[in-house]
Amino acid sequence: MAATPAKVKKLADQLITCITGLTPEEDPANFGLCREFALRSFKGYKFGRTNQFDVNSKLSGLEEKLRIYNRDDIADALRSRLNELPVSTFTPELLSLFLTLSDRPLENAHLDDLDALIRHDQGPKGLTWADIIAEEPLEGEIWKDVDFGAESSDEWSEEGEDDVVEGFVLKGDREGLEALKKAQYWDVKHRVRPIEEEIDVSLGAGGVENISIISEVQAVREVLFMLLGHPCVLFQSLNGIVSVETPALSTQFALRHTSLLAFKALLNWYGEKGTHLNRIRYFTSIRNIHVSPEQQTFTSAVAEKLFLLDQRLIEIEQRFVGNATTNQIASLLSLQSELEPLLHPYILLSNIIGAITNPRTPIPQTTLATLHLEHLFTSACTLQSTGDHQTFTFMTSLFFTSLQTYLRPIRTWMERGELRPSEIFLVSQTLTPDQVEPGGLWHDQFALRTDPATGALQAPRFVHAAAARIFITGKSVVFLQRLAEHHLPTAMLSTDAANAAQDAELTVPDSGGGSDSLAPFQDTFAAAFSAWIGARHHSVSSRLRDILYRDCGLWRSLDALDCVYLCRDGHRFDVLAGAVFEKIDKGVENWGDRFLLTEMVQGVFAGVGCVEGGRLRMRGRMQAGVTVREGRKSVKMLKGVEVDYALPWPIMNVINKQALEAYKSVFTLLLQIRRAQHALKRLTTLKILTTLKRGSGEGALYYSLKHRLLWFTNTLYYYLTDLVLLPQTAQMRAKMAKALDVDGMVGVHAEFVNRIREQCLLGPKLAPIHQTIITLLDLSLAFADAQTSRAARLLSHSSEDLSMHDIPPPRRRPGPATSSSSSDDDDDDGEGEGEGEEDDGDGDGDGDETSHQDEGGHKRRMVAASVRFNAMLDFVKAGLRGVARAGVMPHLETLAEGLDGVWWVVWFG
Amino acid sequence: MPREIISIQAGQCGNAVGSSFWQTLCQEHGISPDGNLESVEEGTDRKDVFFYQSDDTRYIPRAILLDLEPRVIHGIQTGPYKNIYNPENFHVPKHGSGAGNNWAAGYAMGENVYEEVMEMIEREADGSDSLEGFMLLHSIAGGTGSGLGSFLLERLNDRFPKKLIQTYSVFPDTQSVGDVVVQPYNSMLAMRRLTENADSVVVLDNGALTRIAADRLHVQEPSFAQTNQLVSTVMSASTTTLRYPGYMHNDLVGIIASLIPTPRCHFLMTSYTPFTGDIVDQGKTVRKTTVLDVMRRLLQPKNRMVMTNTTKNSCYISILNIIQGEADPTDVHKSLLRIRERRLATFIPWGPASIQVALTKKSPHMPMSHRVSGLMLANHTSIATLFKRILGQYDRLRKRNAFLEQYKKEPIFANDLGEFDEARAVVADLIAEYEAAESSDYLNPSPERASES
Repeated sequence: MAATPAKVKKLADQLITCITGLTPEEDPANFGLCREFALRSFKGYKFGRTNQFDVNSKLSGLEEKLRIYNRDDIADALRSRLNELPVSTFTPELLSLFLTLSDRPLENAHLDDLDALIRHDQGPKGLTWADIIAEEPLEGEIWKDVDFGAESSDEWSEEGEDDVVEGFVLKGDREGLEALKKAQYWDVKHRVRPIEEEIDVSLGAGGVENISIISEVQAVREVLFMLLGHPCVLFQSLNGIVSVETPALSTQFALRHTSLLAFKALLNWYGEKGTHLNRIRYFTSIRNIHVSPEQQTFTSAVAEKLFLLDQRLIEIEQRFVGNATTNQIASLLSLQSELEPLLHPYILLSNIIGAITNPRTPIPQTTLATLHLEHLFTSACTLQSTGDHQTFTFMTSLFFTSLQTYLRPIRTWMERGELRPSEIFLVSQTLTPDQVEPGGLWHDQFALRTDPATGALQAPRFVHAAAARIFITGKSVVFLQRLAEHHLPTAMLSTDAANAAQDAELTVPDSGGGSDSLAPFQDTFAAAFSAWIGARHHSVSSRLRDILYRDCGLWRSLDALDCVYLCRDGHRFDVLAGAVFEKIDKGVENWGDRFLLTEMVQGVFAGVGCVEGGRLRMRGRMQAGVTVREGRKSVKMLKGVEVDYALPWPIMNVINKQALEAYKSVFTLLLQIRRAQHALKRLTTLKILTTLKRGSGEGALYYSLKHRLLWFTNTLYYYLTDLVLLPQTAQMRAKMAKALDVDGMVGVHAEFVNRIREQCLLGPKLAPIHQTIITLLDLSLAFADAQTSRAARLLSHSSEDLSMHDIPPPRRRPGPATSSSSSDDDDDDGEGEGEGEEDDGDGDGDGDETSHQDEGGHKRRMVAASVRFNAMLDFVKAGLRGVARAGVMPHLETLAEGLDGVWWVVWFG
Repeated sequence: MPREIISIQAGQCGNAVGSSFWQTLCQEHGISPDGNLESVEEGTDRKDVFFYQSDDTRYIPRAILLDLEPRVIHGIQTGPYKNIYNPENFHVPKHGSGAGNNWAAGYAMGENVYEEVMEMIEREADGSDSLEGFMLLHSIAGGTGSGLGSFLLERLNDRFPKKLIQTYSVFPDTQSVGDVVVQPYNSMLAMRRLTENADSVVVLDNGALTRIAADRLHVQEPSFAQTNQLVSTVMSASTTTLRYPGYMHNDLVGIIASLIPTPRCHFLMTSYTPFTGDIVDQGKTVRKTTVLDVMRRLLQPKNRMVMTNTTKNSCYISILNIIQGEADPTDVHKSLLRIRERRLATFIPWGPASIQVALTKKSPHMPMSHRVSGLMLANHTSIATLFKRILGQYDRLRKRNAFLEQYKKEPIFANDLGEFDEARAVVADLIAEYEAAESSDYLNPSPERASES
């Protein structure tokens, strides 16, 4: 390092500035510190020369390494470059530096990167004519300019020469430039003359400086420019807002004959209109392909309207431009009155656009897509009512143009049941066709799009009335398509006819044109829209309805349900129930066997035309851990009896699962009553019991209680069947036949189901009454059980005693109750009132003693049962009356009346 | 699993009524006189309660026709419906001279024919899936129906203890003494069996039938054919709920259980309205038949097919109205309320006072001129007066020991006439029971009464 300290210092300074950015001027302290450090380091460091052999071996090693790693290309490139490298004094140092700087050359070296080093502009220069000419100038005889004139006629040459020259060298059109400059009135300062000259009377008084006077024609043209959206000097447009007075305008303009204020006011008026127009212009200029087609249509319609306006403005402008032959009165005021009606619709339009583009509250995309329709419709309605026919026509034309696009998906939906995959359409698909069960096709697959917060329909207001029908029509189409897929050829839509019907566009009677039309637009439109939908809706839904009725067998299914669940055919129900009861009574543990029961139920309904046996399933389920013998003491066990009638899937859409549940619960109730009836009726055939003499207390109790229980079950059953199910079913069918579409049918059926559920005491409100009824039925069972076992006992006791005279053996007659036994009675009553009849079966009653006791207990239980019956019946009646009186369910009065008419004797005090 | 009913018709009257009944049933079910269906369409009716299908698909009545003299049965065998019956089910002796209006003779003959008749009944019972019971058609005044019928009741009860036995018993005209002098004897003896061995007896009073035919149908002297027609109408109407099943009352036991609370009081009376020209030509009248009208008329004593003297105490034990035709259930309910309001029917003071109603369809094969028709099956205490009259007549004969000779010839009276006294006791007891049922303490008799009985 043979360098002078001064040179070193200078270089060090530069280095410091480069690295740290410190300069001796700005931060001398720090800079000094750095320099101190650097110089000290330089001094204390020994700088030996780089070992050039070391570098060479390193490079060879690198080359070898590359070759080993199969990067021959890089190795070749390196070798060729090293060979080319001219050897100079510092070559080893440079190479050493490169080696030190290199970062994992094996991984990071790419030959492609070398391209980046090439300086393209410095590629070898191609051969150009200039070079050639420079080397070999085109000189000589043959290269001289040909003088065509030499051979041509000289007479022409003089003038021609001049022209040619003039064509190439244009003379400046000074006059034109002057005229142009003159025409640029904004640059020309027409100062306000002093008041004394009495020319600028209106202005001079203001004493305003810096005012340019312009003519009214100029002002008019400025205004028109501005309205056309061009820049101009009288107005300044900032973000579309046109203003007259702005600081940016250095000059103020004025008319000679108008006061400045009036002029400004006039200009402000125009400015305001211009602002509106600008808003429209801006709106149309946005080309956003992501917005919905509805909005795009709207934009294009607006652009069209704007184009019309521009045409008109240009026409007006034409009058004021350059046509000196016709005299034209230029007046800002007359222009204003001319433009006023023309611009009025646009102002409204601009307001609408403003409302759409800058809503006060954020509006979801779905609403935004149709917001303009909403606004257009509303304003059209308002305009018609205010009698502004011109604007009304303007608005309706916009509205209908936009509406066509809006209607297109609706039509697709109503014709083919297809939905546009977008978030905007009226109908949304909630489940894909693969997810939805056939039975839920009608209800689950599609939904009307509603606002999740408010539940309001997300559609323009004018669609609301018809939305349900649009929805239904589309669903019907989907439904029909599904039916067609399931080989129901009648469900095929005759698309031709459908299209023909649909080709008719939505036509609204031209209420806007004639001022004499008094029909409100809203209603006219609603009628037309309704008719438009109606044609399609009617044809599709009535078709679907007919197919459901005829081909899918809705009536048959209803008949079948009626037959299977509502037990219309009492005999078959009897047979079915009887068989089940018999098994239960015999204590068959597998009474609920699915296969046996199914076979039986299919057999029972085999001859019934409306019931398809294959669809019937039945099974009985027992509560876990309860034996048949235990369970049969209560009719509740019959809840486990399940009959399933698998409806065809198209019908499932009308009669859904919830409805079937209601059917099943009615069936269960009927079965439970049947159970009690069955048990009681069976007593009649136990002739041994007929030997009980009425005179004995027991006989009397037995007969009366049996009669009352039987009467109760009969009355209840009669009420349920003849007074509820029969008329309700008939009513439902009548309504169903009148239903217009599937929704109508669903509604009718749902109403029916609700009604029978309510009237059959199955509703939640009537749960206590229902519960009591069940308890009463249980009481019947217990009573019948007790009597049956008693009959068996009597038979075993005294078969020989039963003479033809049926005079009971004296020992069966309970003796007059002694005081002690009656007190026992009371005690036992207290304890054993619930299911106290359980110990009947095991009382063998050997001998008179036990027999007597047994009799006593039996009688006690009967008394208790009788008392319970009375109490519960009273409760049921009172309950029914109470509910009926509340006016909620007046039909219950019927049952209460049916249960009335009992005259009670109070037995045994 | 139908609930079959086997009908047994005994005696002259029973067979005449029976043949009329089967004719009506055939018409209602659209079965032609040769047993084939007239229309092929599937009906909702249940033919299998009273008919079974033979191998050649003909419908055969489950009927057993018994008589001790061939005249009436011969008439059936040569009549228009001769082909529907199973020829094996006729029992009539070739040279039978009948029972000679003698209960004892009929009863005694029973022993002779027992084997053969039981064989028929067993065969029919075996041909049934689940036999519900028997229906006996007979009169109690004569010899065969009364005597043989009584015999069969006893034996059926023994043989089929769990099956129901319902009888349609034609009682003699008790207001006037008929052509059978000994009818009180016969009636009394038959009454005992009806009381003890039948589950339900539908009482058809010949006197009332004649009166109804005369009054309602404007026939001066009604023929047996016309009164039989009335009986068969009642029979077919009372079985409609079995044959055209509705929601309820689809089995015999159901009807009987709901009508008869105490087993002894099982004598039912009937009313039917309207009898019009459809049944008897002469009765064509123009009538307004609303549900209320029908139900009201059913309660009128003049429409009852039993002549009874109602006292101020007599009352209904139970009522079942079978309404046929286009009756609106709500109308029925309103009518019931109206009847209750006006107290048109008095009920026993010890039970639920309510009229039960069964709505049934009409046969599609029988055109009817009126919208609604109704049958009332009622258990009424005043029926005891009919029994009292029989008892009175019996006592008058018995006191004089008149006409007893021919009875003494028969085995049952060979030793003594104790059977007469026993029968009288049973009937008297029955009458007492009906009278007791009118009192409010029927089910809670005073200890004295309890010990009395």
